[in-house]
Amino acid sequence: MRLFPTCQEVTRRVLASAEQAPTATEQLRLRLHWAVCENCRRFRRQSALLREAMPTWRKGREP
Amino acid sequence: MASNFLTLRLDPHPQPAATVPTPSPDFAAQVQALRPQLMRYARGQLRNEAWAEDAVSDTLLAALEKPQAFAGLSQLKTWLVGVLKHKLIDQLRKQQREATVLSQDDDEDIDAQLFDASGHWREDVPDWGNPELQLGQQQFIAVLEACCSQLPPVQGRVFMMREWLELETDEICKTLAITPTNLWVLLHRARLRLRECLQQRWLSHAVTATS
Repeated sequence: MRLFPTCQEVTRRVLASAEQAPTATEQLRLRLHWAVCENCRRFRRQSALLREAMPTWRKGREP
Repeated sequence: MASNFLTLRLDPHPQPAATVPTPSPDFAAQVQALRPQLMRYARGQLRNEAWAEDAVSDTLLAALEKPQAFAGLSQLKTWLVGVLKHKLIDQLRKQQREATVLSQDDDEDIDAQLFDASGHWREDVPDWGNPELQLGQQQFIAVLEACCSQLPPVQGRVFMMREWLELETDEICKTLAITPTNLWVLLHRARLRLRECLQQRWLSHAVTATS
């Protein structure tokens, strides 16, 4: 990831964190981006909300 | 063929084979009643009616072969879903060639719809607030489920393998015979689409309701 990643790159990294947690450096770059980008902050909240809903969704799919 | 076998077993006057225990008509009916629910899950995962039939029939047969093993209805359901998940994975393994072919007709670029050439959001990301609070958790989950079922076939299959069957990424790659890069792209697109769908189906309601 670049030192100043684009919104698209930040989004990709946020979604991929379910498979692979960001490294410390990536975390830092993400935070730098979030500090100045309202859109990506909102996207991060939306992703967290979805991730938190998954266990309930999974349980609800059992008959 | 499997469903013929099942019909035979559900005959009110079954002719039992010598070695296999005969399920009681009650138990057979109980198992059969769960068929539509199981079919729904299998269809959602496999996106193919015939494969779903096979997986569900195998699952029901497995239950009918061991009627004594269940203490109650909820235990039976849990067991059936557990077996179904394994049958789905088997089925996906068997069909891996088709799956790989399918992944090629599924390349609409949602990234390009959301981001411009310089990687910026084309439109501002709306504030969702707290949909679970505003909408009730049950309804939020219902919308989530509806959106999952609308994912393009391969994205949907991969997403369900990851999030419902809870398979590890290397297991999914092996099963579908795809590369890790391919898998990451599919998961990425599935999640972006899911978010888009939730936003359209639910946020539009929430905004009109509060304004």
